[in-house]
Amino acid sequence: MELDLILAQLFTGVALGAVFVLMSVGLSVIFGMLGIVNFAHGAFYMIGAYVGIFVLTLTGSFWIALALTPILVGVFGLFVERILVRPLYGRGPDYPLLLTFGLAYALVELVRVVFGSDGVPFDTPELLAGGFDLGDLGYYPAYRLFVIAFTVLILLVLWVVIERTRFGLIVRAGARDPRILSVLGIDVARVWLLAFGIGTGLAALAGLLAAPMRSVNPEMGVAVLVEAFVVTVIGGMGSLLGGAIAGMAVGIVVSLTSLWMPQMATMSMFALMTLVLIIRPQGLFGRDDLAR
Amino acid sequence: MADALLELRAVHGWYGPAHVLQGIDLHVMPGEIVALVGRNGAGKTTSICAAMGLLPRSAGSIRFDGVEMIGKPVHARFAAGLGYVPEERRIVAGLTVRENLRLGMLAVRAGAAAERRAIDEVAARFPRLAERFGQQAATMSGGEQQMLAIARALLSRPKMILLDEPSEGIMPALVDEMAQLFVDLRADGMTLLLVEQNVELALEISDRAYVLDQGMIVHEGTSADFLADPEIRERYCSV
Repeated sequence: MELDLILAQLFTGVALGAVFVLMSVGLSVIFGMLGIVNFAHGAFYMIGAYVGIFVLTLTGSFWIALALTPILVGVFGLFVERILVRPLYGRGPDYPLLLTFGLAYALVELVRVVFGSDGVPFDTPELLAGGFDLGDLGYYPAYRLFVIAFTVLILLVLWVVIERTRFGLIVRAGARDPRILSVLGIDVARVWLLAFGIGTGLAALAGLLAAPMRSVNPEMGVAVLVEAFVVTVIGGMGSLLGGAIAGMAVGIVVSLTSLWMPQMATMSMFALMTLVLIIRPQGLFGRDDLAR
Repeated sequence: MADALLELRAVHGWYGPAHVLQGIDLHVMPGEIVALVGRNGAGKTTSICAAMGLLPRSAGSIRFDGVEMIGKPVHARFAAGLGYVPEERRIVAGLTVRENLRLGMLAVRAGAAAERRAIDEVAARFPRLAERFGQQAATMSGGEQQMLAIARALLSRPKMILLDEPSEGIMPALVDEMAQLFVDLRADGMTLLLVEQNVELALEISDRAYVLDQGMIVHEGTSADFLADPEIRERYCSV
Protein backbone atom coordinates (compact mmCIF):
# COMPACT_ATOMS: atom_id res chain seq x y z
CA MET A 1 0.00 0.00 0.00
CA GLU A 2 1.27 3.41 -0.92
CA LEU A 3 2.44 5.80 1.71
CA ASP A 4 0.44 8.76 0.41
CA LEU A 5 -2.78 6.77 0.65
CA ILE A 6 -2.02 5.90 4.25
CA LEU A 7 -1.18 9.50 5.06
CA ALA A 8 -4.36 10.74 3.40
CA GLN A 9 -6.34 8.26 5.46
CA LEU A 10 -4.45 9.39 8.55
CA PHE A 11 -5.53 12.97 7.92
CA THR A 12 -9.08 11.82 7.36
CA GLY A 13 -8.86 10.08 10.70
CA VAL A 14 -7.72 13.28 12.38
CA ALA A 15 -10.59 15.25 10.83
CA LEU A 16 -13.03 12.57 11.96
CA GLY A 17 -11.34 12.61 15.35
CA ALA A 18 -11.88 16.38 15.58
CA VAL A 19 -15.63 15.79 15.42
CA PHE A 20 -15.36 13.11 18.12
CA VAL A 21 -13.35 15.48 20.29
CA LEU A 22 -16.01 18.22 20.17
CA MET A 23 -18.69 15.64 20.97
CA SER A 24 -16.80 14.08 23.83
CA VAL A 25 -15.85 17.44 25.37
CA GLY A 26 -19.54 18.35 25.53
CA LEU A 27 -20.44 14.96 27.01
CA SER A 28 -17.62 15.25 29.49
CA VAL A 29 -18.57 18.77 30.62
CA ILE A 30 -22.18 17.71 31.18
CA PHE A 31 -21.21 14.52 32.99
CA GLY A 32 -18.48 16.20 35.03
CA MET A 33 -20.67 19.06 36.23
CA LEU A 34 -24.19 17.64 36.35
CA GLY A 35 -23.42 13.94 36.72
CA ILE A 36 -25.71 13.23 33.79
CA VAL A 37 -24.94 10.67 31.12
CA ASN A 38 -26.50 12.60 28.28
CA PHE A 39 -28.05 10.21 25.79
CA ALA A 40 -29.54 13.13 23.85
CA HIS A 41 -26.07 14.31 22.89
CA GLY A 42 -26.23 12.53 19.51
CA ALA A 43 -29.61 14.11 18.85
CA PHE A 44 -28.19 17.57 19.57
CA TYR A 45 -25.41 16.76 17.08
CA MET A 46 -28.02 15.86 14.46
CA ILE A 47 -30.08 18.97 15.29
CA GLY A 48 -26.88 20.97 14.78
CA ALA A 49 -26.54 19.69 11.22
CA TYR A 50 -30.20 20.42 10.42
CA VAL A 51 -30.17 23.87 12.02
CA GLY A 52 -26.98 24.49 10.04
CA ILE A 53 -28.76 23.58 6.81
CA PHE A 54 -31.69 25.78 7.79
CA VAL A 55 -29.50 28.81 8.49
CA LEU A 56 -27.44 28.11 5.38
CA THR A 57 -30.55 28.04 3.20
CA LEU A 58 -31.84 31.19 4.82
CA THR A 59 -28.66 33.25 4.62
CA GLY A 60 -26.63 31.50 1.97
CA SER A 61 -23.54 31.73 4.14
CA PHE A 62 -21.75 28.76 5.70
CA TRP A 63 -19.94 31.13 8.03
CA ILE A 64 -23.13 32.60 9.45
CA ALA A 65 -24.40 29.05 9.91
CA LEU A 66 -21.16 28.13 11.68
CA ALA A 67 -21.53 31.07 14.06
CA LEU A 68 -25.28 30.80 14.70
CA THR A 69 -25.85 27.06 14.93
CA PRO A 70 -24.00 26.40 18.21
CA ILE A 71 -25.70 29.43 19.76
CA LEU A 72 -29.22 28.47 18.62
CA VAL A 73 -28.87 24.84 19.66
CA GLY A 74 -27.07 25.90 22.86
CA VAL A 75 -30.07 28.06 23.78
CA PHE A 76 -32.31 25.09 23.04
CA GLY A 77 -30.09 23.11 25.44
CA LEU A 78 -30.67 25.77 28.12
CA PHE A 79 -34.41 25.23 27.82
CA VAL A 80 -34.00 21.45 27.94
CA GLU A 81 -31.98 21.71 31.15
CA ARG A 82 -34.25 24.25 32.79
CA ILE A 83 -37.58 22.66 31.90
CA LEU A 84 -36.89 18.93 31.58
CA VAL A 85 -33.67 18.01 33.40
CA ARG A 86 -33.69 20.28 36.45
CA PRO A 87 -36.82 18.82 38.08
CA LEU A 88 -35.02 15.46 38.14
CA TYR A 89 -31.97 16.53 40.19
CA GLY A 90 -31.67 14.74 43.48
CA ARG A 91 -33.55 11.68 42.26
CA GLY A 92 -30.56 9.59 41.30
CA PRO A 93 -28.82 9.24 37.95
CA ASP A 94 -31.43 6.96 36.32
CA TYR A 95 -34.03 9.67 35.86
CA PRO A 96 -32.02 12.14 33.75
CA LEU A 97 -30.53 9.21 31.84
CA LEU A 98 -33.98 7.93 30.89
CA LEU A 99 -35.17 11.44 30.13
CA THR A 100 -32.33 12.17 27.71
CA PHE A 101 -32.73 8.71 26.19
CA GLY A 102 -36.38 9.44 25.44
CA LEU A 103 -35.64 12.99 24.35
CA ALA A 104 -33.20 11.65 21.75
CA TYR A 105 -35.94 9.49 20.22
CA ALA A 106 -38.41 12.36 20.28
CA LEU A 107 -35.99 14.72 18.54
CA VAL A 108 -35.09 12.17 15.86
CA GLU A 109 -38.77 11.55 15.14
CA LEU A 110 -39.48 15.28 15.09
CA VAL A 111 -36.78 15.85 12.49
CA ARG A 112 -38.07 12.89 10.50
CA VAL A 113 -41.55 14.43 10.45
CA VAL A 114 -40.31 17.87 9.42
CA PHE A 115 -37.47 17.04 7.03
CA GLY A 116 -38.25 13.44 6.03
CA SER A 117 -36.23 10.28 6.59
CA ASP A 118 -33.99 10.73 3.59
CA GLY A 119 -30.62 12.29 3.83
CA VAL A 120 -30.23 15.96 3.05
CA PRO A 121 -27.26 17.12 1.00
CA PHE A 122 -24.89 19.54 2.66
CA ASP A 123 -22.38 20.93 0.21
CA THR A 124 -18.89 21.82 1.23
CA PRO A 125 -18.70 25.62 1.46
CA GLU A 126 -17.31 27.13 -1.72
CA LEU A 127 -14.26 28.66 -0.13
CA LEU A 128 -13.19 25.27 1.23
CA ALA A 129 -14.37 23.14 -1.68
CA GLY A 130 -10.94 22.55 -3.19
CA GLY A 131 -7.98 20.71 -1.86
CA PHE A 132 -4.36 21.24 -1.07
CA ASP A 133 -1.61 19.63 -3.03
CA LEU A 134 0.68 18.50 -0.25
CA GLY A 135 3.45 17.47 -2.66
CA ASP A 136 4.70 14.00 -1.84
CA LEU A 137 2.00 13.61 0.79
CA GLY A 138 -0.69 13.75 -1.91
CA TYR A 139 -3.82 15.75 -2.26
CA TYR A 140 -5.98 16.64 0.71
CA PRO A 141 -9.47 18.22 0.88
CA ALA A 142 -9.34 21.76 2.24
CA TYR A 143 -12.54 21.32 4.24
CA ARG A 144 -11.02 18.58 6.40
CA LEU A 145 -8.01 20.72 7.15
CA PHE A 146 -10.42 23.48 8.11
CA VAL A 147 -12.30 21.16 10.46
CA ILE A 148 -9.04 20.18 12.15
CA ALA A 149 -7.83 23.77 12.47
CA PHE A 150 -11.20 25.03 13.70
CA THR A 151 -11.42 22.29 16.32
CA VAL A 152 -7.93 23.12 17.55
CA LEU A 153 -9.04 26.75 17.85
CA ILE A 154 -12.17 25.81 19.81
CA LEU A 155 -10.12 23.59 22.12
CA LEU A 156 -7.64 26.41 22.73
CA VAL A 157 -10.46 28.80 23.58
CA LEU A 158 -11.99 26.20 25.91
CA TRP A 159 -8.63 25.60 27.54
CA VAL A 160 -8.08 29.31 28.18
CA VAL A 161 -11.61 29.67 29.57
CA ILE A 162 -11.22 26.66 31.86
CA GLU A 163 -7.70 27.42 33.09
CA ARG A 164 -7.66 31.20 33.15
CA THR A 165 -11.12 32.58 33.90
CA ARG A 166 -13.42 32.87 36.87
CA PHE A 167 -16.02 30.72 35.13
CA GLY A 168 -13.34 28.11 34.41
CA LEU A 169 -12.40 27.95 38.09
CA ILE A 170 -16.06 27.44 38.92
CA VAL A 171 -16.26 24.63 36.38
CA ARG A 172 -13.12 22.91 37.68
CA ALA A 173 -14.22 23.15 41.30
CA GLY A 174 -17.82 22.26 40.47
CA ALA A 175 -16.80 19.09 38.69
CA ARG A 176 -15.10 17.97 41.91
CA ASP A 177 -17.40 19.29 44.58
CA PRO A 178 -20.54 21.27 43.72
CA ARG A 179 -21.50 21.57 47.41
CA ILE A 180 -18.41 23.63 48.16
CA LEU A 181 -19.39 26.06 45.41
CA SER A 182 -22.81 26.60 46.93
CA VAL A 183 -21.49 27.28 50.43
CA LEU A 184 -19.06 29.76 48.85
CA GLY A 185 -21.98 31.67 47.40
CA ILE A 186 -22.24 30.30 43.87
CA ASP A 187 -25.68 29.56 42.46
CA VAL A 188 -24.81 26.04 41.32
CA ALA A 189 -28.06 25.60 39.41
CA ARG A 190 -27.07 28.47 37.13
CA VAL A 191 -23.62 26.97 36.53
CA TRP A 192 -25.20 23.63 35.61
CA LEU A 193 -27.59 25.37 33.25
CA LEU A 194 -24.68 27.05 31.47
CA ALA A 195 -22.63 23.85 31.37
CA PHE A 196 -25.52 22.02 29.72
CA GLY A 197 -25.96 24.82 27.20
CA ILE A 198 -22.26 24.86 26.34
CA GLY A 199 -22.13 21.06 25.97
CA THR A 200 -25.20 21.14 23.72
CA GLY A 201 -23.73 23.94 21.62
CA LEU A 202 -20.50 21.97 21.16
CA ALA A 203 -22.49 18.93 20.00
CA ALA A 204 -24.32 21.10 17.48
CA LEU A 205 -21.03 22.52 16.26
CA ALA A 206 -19.69 18.99 15.79
CA GLY A 207 -22.82 18.05 13.83
CA LEU A 208 -22.50 21.06 11.57
CA LEU A 209 -18.79 20.49 10.95
CA ALA A 210 -19.41 16.82 10.20
CA ALA A 211 -22.30 17.52 7.83
CA PRO A 212 -20.25 17.97 4.64
CA MET A 213 -18.09 14.93 5.51
CA ARG A 214 -20.76 12.49 6.65
CA SER A 215 -24.33 12.28 5.42
CA VAL A 216 -27.04 14.37 7.09
CA ASN A 217 -30.04 12.29 8.16
CA PRO A 218 -32.19 11.94 11.26
CA GLU A 219 -30.15 8.97 12.52
CA MET A 220 -26.73 10.56 12.06
CA GLY A 221 -26.40 11.14 15.80
CA VAL A 222 -26.85 7.51 16.80
CA ALA A 223 -23.47 6.21 15.68
CA VAL A 224 -21.58 9.30 16.73
CA LEU A 225 -23.02 9.11 20.24
CA VAL A 226 -21.48 5.68 20.67
CA GLU A 227 -18.21 6.96 19.22
CA ALA A 228 -18.25 9.95 21.56
CA PHE A 229 -18.86 7.70 24.58
CA VAL A 230 -15.92 5.53 23.55
CA VAL A 231 -13.72 8.62 23.21
CA THR A 232 -14.83 9.95 26.59
CA VAL A 233 -14.13 6.63 28.28
CA ILE A 234 -10.70 6.32 26.64
CA GLY A 235 -9.72 9.91 27.40
CA GLY A 236 -11.02 9.85 30.94
CA MET A 237 -14.14 11.64 32.15
CA GLY A 238 -13.61 15.31 32.82
CA SER A 239 -10.30 15.71 31.01
CA LEU A 240 -10.09 18.13 28.10
CA LEU A 241 -6.64 16.92 27.08
CA GLY A 242 -7.73 13.28 27.43
CA GLY A 243 -10.76 13.90 25.23
CA ALA A 244 -8.64 15.60 22.58
CA ILE A 245 -6.02 12.85 22.43
CA ALA A 246 -8.56 10.03 22.62
CA GLY A 247 -10.71 11.65 19.92
CA MET A 248 -7.77 11.84 17.55
CA ALA A 249 -6.67 8.30 18.43
CA VAL A 250 -10.13 6.84 17.78
CA GLY A 251 -10.49 8.81 14.54
CA ILE A 252 -7.14 7.56 13.28
CA VAL A 253 -7.66 3.95 14.37
CA VAL A 254 -11.12 3.79 12.76
CA SER A 255 -9.87 5.48 9.63
CA LEU A 256 -6.80 3.31 9.17
CA THR A 257 -8.68 0.10 9.96
CA SER A 258 -11.25 0.94 7.32
CA LEU A 259 -8.41 1.21 4.83
CA TRP A 260 -7.25 -2.34 5.39
CA MET A 261 -10.20 -4.13 6.94
CA PRO A 262 -13.35 -2.02 6.45
CA GLN A 263 -15.52 -4.59 8.18
CA MET A 264 -13.45 -4.22 11.35
CA ALA A 265 -13.55 -0.41 11.48
CA THR A 266 -16.21 -0.09 14.18
CA MET A 267 -14.81 -2.95 16.16
CA SER A 268 -11.32 -1.44 16.21
CA MET A 269 -12.59 1.46 18.29
CA PHE A 270 -14.01 -0.88 20.93
CA ALA A 271 -10.82 -2.91 20.89
CA LEU A 272 -8.87 0.26 21.66
CA MET A 273 -11.29 1.11 24.46
CA THR A 274 -10.99 -2.40 25.94
CA LEU A 275 -7.22 -2.17 25.84
CA VAL A 276 -7.19 1.22 27.57
CA LEU A 277 -9.68 0.07 30.21
CA ILE A 278 -7.53 -2.95 31.05
CA ILE A 279 -4.43 -0.82 31.52
CA ARG A 280 -6.02 2.36 32.94
CA PRO A 281 -9.61 1.88 34.14
CA GLN A 282 -10.02 5.63 34.72
CA GLY A 283 -9.08 6.44 31.10
CA LEU A 284 -5.87 8.00 29.81
CA PHE A 285 -6.19 11.27 31.71
CA GLY A 286 -9.08 10.54 34.04
CA ARG A 287 -8.94 11.06 37.78
CA ASP A 288 -8.75 7.78 39.60
CA ASP A 289 -11.26 8.95 42.21
CA LEU A 290 -13.97 8.91 39.53
CA ALA A 291 -13.17 5.40 38.41
CA ARG A 292 -13.97 4.00 41.82
CA MET B 1 -33.16 37.78 71.36
CA ALA B 2 -33.75 40.95 69.47
CA ASP B 3 -30.19 41.62 68.45
CA ALA B 4 -28.88 38.10 68.02
CA LEU B 5 -26.88 37.65 64.82
CA LEU B 6 -28.15 34.11 64.31
CA GLU B 7 -31.29 32.79 65.90
CA LEU B 8 -32.84 29.35 65.42
CA ARG B 9 -36.35 28.96 66.77
CA ALA B 10 -38.17 25.60 66.88
CA VAL B 11 -36.07 24.31 64.02
CA HIS B 12 -36.90 20.84 62.77
CA GLY B 13 -34.81 19.01 60.22
CA TRP B 14 -35.09 15.79 58.25
CA TYR B 15 -32.77 13.56 56.26
CA GLY B 16 -35.26 11.62 54.16
CA PRO B 17 -37.68 10.02 56.62
CA ALA B 18 -35.35 10.58 59.61
CA HIS B 19 -36.55 13.39 61.84
CA VAL B 20 -33.10 14.50 63.02
CA LEU B 21 -33.73 17.93 64.56
CA GLN B 22 -36.71 18.05 66.89
CA GLY B 23 -37.17 21.69 67.72
CA ILE B 24 -33.83 23.45 68.18
CA ASP B 25 -33.74 26.87 69.85
CA LEU B 26 -30.42 28.65 69.95
CA HIS B 27 -28.94 32.04 69.32
CA VAL B 28 -25.53 33.58 68.75
CA MET B 29 -24.81 37.21 69.65
CA PRO B 30 -22.46 39.31 67.53
CA GLY B 31 -18.82 38.78 68.54
CA GLU B 32 -19.50 35.55 70.42
CA ILE B 33 -17.99 32.11 70.05
CA VAL B 34 -20.75 29.58 70.74
CA ALA B 35 -20.10 25.84 70.90
CA LEU B 36 -22.47 22.99 70.09
CA VAL B 37 -21.44 19.83 71.91
CA GLY B 38 -22.94 16.41 72.40
CA ARG B 39 -22.52 12.80 71.37
CA ASN B 40 -22.22 11.53 67.83
CA GLY B 41 -25.60 11.68 66.15
CA ALA B 42 -26.99 14.25 68.61
CA GLY B 43 -27.75 16.66 65.76
CA LYS B 44 -24.83 19.11 66.03
CA THR B 45 -23.74 18.98 62.41
CA THR B 46 -27.35 18.85 61.27
CA SER B 47 -28.05 22.05 63.21
CA ILE B 48 -25.43 24.07 61.38
CA CYS B 49 -26.37 22.42 58.08
CA ALA B 50 -29.91 23.67 58.72
CA ALA B 51 -28.57 27.18 59.36
CA MET B 52 -26.58 27.08 56.10
CA GLY B 53 -29.49 25.65 54.08
CA LEU B 54 -27.85 22.31 53.39
CA LEU B 55 -30.65 20.10 54.70
CA PRO B 56 -33.05 18.60 52.19
CA ARG B 57 -35.96 19.57 54.44
CA SER B 58 -36.21 21.88 57.43
CA ALA B 59 -38.88 23.91 59.21
CA GLY B 60 -39.15 26.54 61.92
CA SER B 61 -37.43 29.91 61.92
CA ILE B 62 -33.80 30.68 61.19
CA ARG B 63 -33.11 34.40 61.35
CA PHE B 64 -29.71 35.72 60.37
CA ASP B 65 -28.91 39.41 60.74
CA GLY B 66 -32.63 40.12 61.04
CA VAL B 67 -33.65 38.23 57.90
CA GLU B 68 -35.59 34.96 57.75
CA MET B 69 -33.46 32.30 56.04
CA ILE B 70 -35.83 29.32 55.87
CA GLY B 71 -36.60 28.67 52.22
CA LYS B 72 -33.58 30.59 50.97
CA PRO B 73 -30.98 28.68 48.94
CA VAL B 74 -27.44 28.17 50.23
CA HIS B 75 -25.85 30.82 48.03
CA ALA B 76 -28.32 33.43 49.27
CA ARG B 77 -27.34 32.66 52.87
CA PHE B 78 -23.70 33.10 51.88
CA ALA B 79 -24.59 36.45 50.31
CA ALA B 80 -26.25 37.47 53.58
CA GLY B 81 -22.88 36.98 55.34
CA LEU B 82 -22.89 33.37 56.55
CA GLY B 83 -19.62 31.53 56.12
CA TYR B 84 -19.31 27.77 56.47
CA VAL B 85 -16.39 25.38 56.92
CA PRO B 86 -17.54 21.81 56.27
CA GLU B 87 -16.51 18.75 58.21
CA GLU B 88 -15.15 16.69 55.34
CA ARG B 89 -13.75 17.41 51.92
CA ARG B 90 -12.75 20.82 53.09
CA ILE B 91 -10.62 21.68 50.11
CA VAL B 92 -11.09 20.99 46.41
CA ALA B 93 -8.60 18.40 45.17
CA GLY B 94 -7.03 19.12 41.81
CA LEU B 95 -6.72 22.83 42.57
CA THR B 96 -3.73 24.62 44.03
CA VAL B 97 -3.77 26.39 47.39
CA ARG B 98 -4.18 29.76 45.67
CA GLU B 99 -7.00 28.47 43.46
CA ASN B 100 -8.76 27.09 46.53
CA LEU B 101 -8.48 30.51 48.14
CA ARG B 102 -9.80 32.17 44.98
CA LEU B 103 -12.93 30.01 45.33
CA GLY B 104 -13.69 32.01 48.46
CA MET B 105 -13.77 35.20 46.38
CA LEU B 106 -15.84 33.87 43.47
CA ALA B 107 -19.15 35.16 44.68
CA VAL B 108 -17.72 38.50 45.74
CA ARG B 109 -16.86 39.37 42.13
CA ALA B 110 -13.96 41.60 43.05
CA GLY B 111 -11.44 42.54 40.39
CA ALA B 112 -8.18 40.63 40.00
CA ALA B 113 -6.24 43.25 41.98
CA ALA B 114 -8.74 43.33 44.85
CA GLU B 115 -8.74 39.55 44.87
CA ARG B 116 -4.95 39.40 45.15
CA ARG B 117 -5.01 41.99 47.94
CA ALA B 118 -7.63 40.07 49.90
CA ILE B 119 -5.73 36.80 49.49
CA ASP B 120 -2.47 38.41 50.62
CA GLU B 121 -4.25 39.90 53.60
CA VAL B 122 -5.68 36.56 54.70
CA ALA B 123 -2.37 34.84 53.99
CA ALA B 124 -0.74 37.13 56.56
CA ARG B 125 -2.83 35.34 59.18
CA PHE B 126 -1.84 31.94 57.79
CA PRO B 127 1.91 31.90 57.17
CA ARG B 128 1.82 28.15 56.55
CA LEU B 129 -0.44 28.68 53.56
CA ALA B 130 1.49 31.61 52.17
CA GLU B 131 4.49 29.32 51.70
CA ARG B 132 2.44 26.87 49.66
CA PHE B 133 0.37 28.97 47.26
CA GLY B 134 1.39 27.07 44.13
CA GLN B 135 1.17 23.62 45.72
CA GLN B 136 -1.66 21.18 45.04
CA ALA B 137 -3.96 21.67 48.03
CA ALA B 138 -4.61 17.94 48.39
CA THR B 139 -0.94 17.28 49.14
CA MET B 140 -1.06 19.27 52.39
CA SER B 141 -1.67 17.73 55.81
CA GLY B 142 -5.16 17.55 57.27
CA GLY B 143 -4.48 20.50 59.56
CA GLU B 144 -3.13 22.65 56.77
CA GLN B 145 -6.14 21.81 54.64
CA GLN B 146 -8.37 22.85 57.51
CA MET B 147 -6.52 26.16 57.81
CA LEU B 148 -6.99 26.62 54.08
CA ALA B 149 -10.73 25.99 54.39
CA ILE B 150 -10.98 28.54 57.22
CA ALA B 151 -8.93 31.09 55.26
CA ARG B 152 -11.18 30.53 52.26
CA ALA B 153 -14.28 31.15 54.36
CA LEU B 154 -12.75 34.37 55.72
CA LEU B 155 -11.98 35.84 52.29
CA SER B 156 -15.48 37.06 51.54
CA ARG B 157 -15.54 38.87 54.92
CA PRO B 158 -18.58 37.05 56.31
CA LYS B 159 -20.38 38.32 59.39
CA MET B 160 -20.29 34.88 60.96
CA ILE B 161 -18.70 31.49 60.31
CA LEU B 162 -20.19 28.08 61.04
CA LEU B 163 -17.44 25.54 61.74
CA ASP B 164 -18.09 21.81 61.66
CA GLU B 165 -15.60 19.76 63.69
CA PRO B 166 -12.59 21.94 62.92
CA SER B 167 -10.22 19.97 65.18
CA GLU B 168 -11.10 16.54 63.82
CA GLY B 169 -8.14 14.57 62.53
CA ILE B 170 -5.66 17.34 63.15
CA MET B 171 -2.39 16.99 65.01
CA PRO B 172 -2.34 18.53 68.52
CA ALA B 173 0.19 21.26 67.74
CA LEU B 174 -2.10 22.60 65.01
CA VAL B 175 -5.18 22.31 67.20
CA ASP B 176 -3.68 24.82 69.63
CA GLU B 177 -2.77 27.09 66.77
CA MET B 178 -6.33 26.89 65.50
CA ALA B 179 -7.83 27.57 68.92
CA GLN B 180 -5.67 30.70 69.12
CA LEU B 181 -6.86 31.68 65.66
CA PHE B 182 -10.51 31.50 66.76
CA VAL B 183 -9.79 33.62 69.81
CA ASP B 184 -7.95 36.16 67.61
CA LEU B 185 -10.84 36.23 65.16
CA ARG B 186 -13.27 36.96 67.97
CA ALA B 187 -11.02 39.79 69.15
CA ASP B 188 -11.36 41.22 65.63
CA GLY B 189 -15.15 41.13 65.93
CA MET B 190 -15.88 37.82 64.17
CA THR B 191 -18.77 35.63 65.34
CA LEU B 192 -18.34 31.85 65.37
CA LEU B 193 -20.64 28.89 65.86
CA LEU B 194 -18.56 25.83 66.52
CA VAL B 195 -19.46 22.15 66.43
CA GLU B 196 -16.84 20.15 68.32
CA GLN B 197 -16.16 16.61 69.46
CA ASN B 198 -13.28 17.95 71.50
CA VAL B 199 -15.43 19.28 74.33
CA GLU B 200 -12.58 20.62 76.47
CA LEU B 201 -11.21 22.62 73.58
CA ALA B 202 -14.65 23.93 72.60
CA LEU B 203 -15.50 25.03 76.13
CA GLU B 204 -12.12 26.67 76.68
CA ILE B 205 -12.42 29.01 73.72
CA SER B 206 -16.18 29.59 73.59
CA ASP B 207 -18.31 32.09 75.51
CA ARG B 208 -21.43 29.95 75.69
CA ALA B 209 -22.36 26.40 74.79
CA TYR B 210 -25.38 24.26 73.99
CA VAL B 211 -25.51 20.54 74.72
CA LEU B 212 -27.50 18.53 72.20
CA ASP B 213 -28.99 15.10 72.68
CA GLN B 214 -31.24 13.24 70.24
CA GLY B 215 -32.01 16.30 68.15
CA MET B 216 -32.88 18.53 71.10
CA ILE B 217 -31.03 21.04 73.24
CA VAL B 218 -30.79 19.62 76.74
CA HIS B 219 -28.55 22.22 78.40
CA GLU B 220 -27.36 25.69 77.73
CA GLY B 221 -25.15 28.06 79.63
CA THR B 222 -21.83 29.79 79.77
CA SER B 223 -18.84 27.69 78.85
CA ALA B 224 -17.24 28.54 82.20
CA ASP B 225 -20.20 26.94 83.99
CA PHE B 226 -19.97 23.82 81.86
CA LEU B 227 -16.25 23.57 82.52
CA ALA B 228 -17.00 23.68 86.25
CA ASP B 229 -19.64 20.96 85.97
CA PRO B 230 -18.05 17.68 84.93
CA GLU B 231 -21.29 15.78 85.47
CA ILE B 232 -23.06 17.27 82.44
CA ARG B 233 -20.04 16.60 80.30
CA GLU B 234 -19.94 13.05 81.56
CA ARG B 235 -23.62 12.46 80.88
CA TYR B 236 -23.98 13.99 77.41
CA CYS B 237 -20.58 14.26 75.88
CA SER B 238 -18.66 11.08 76.66
CA VAL B 239 -18.61 8.79 73.67
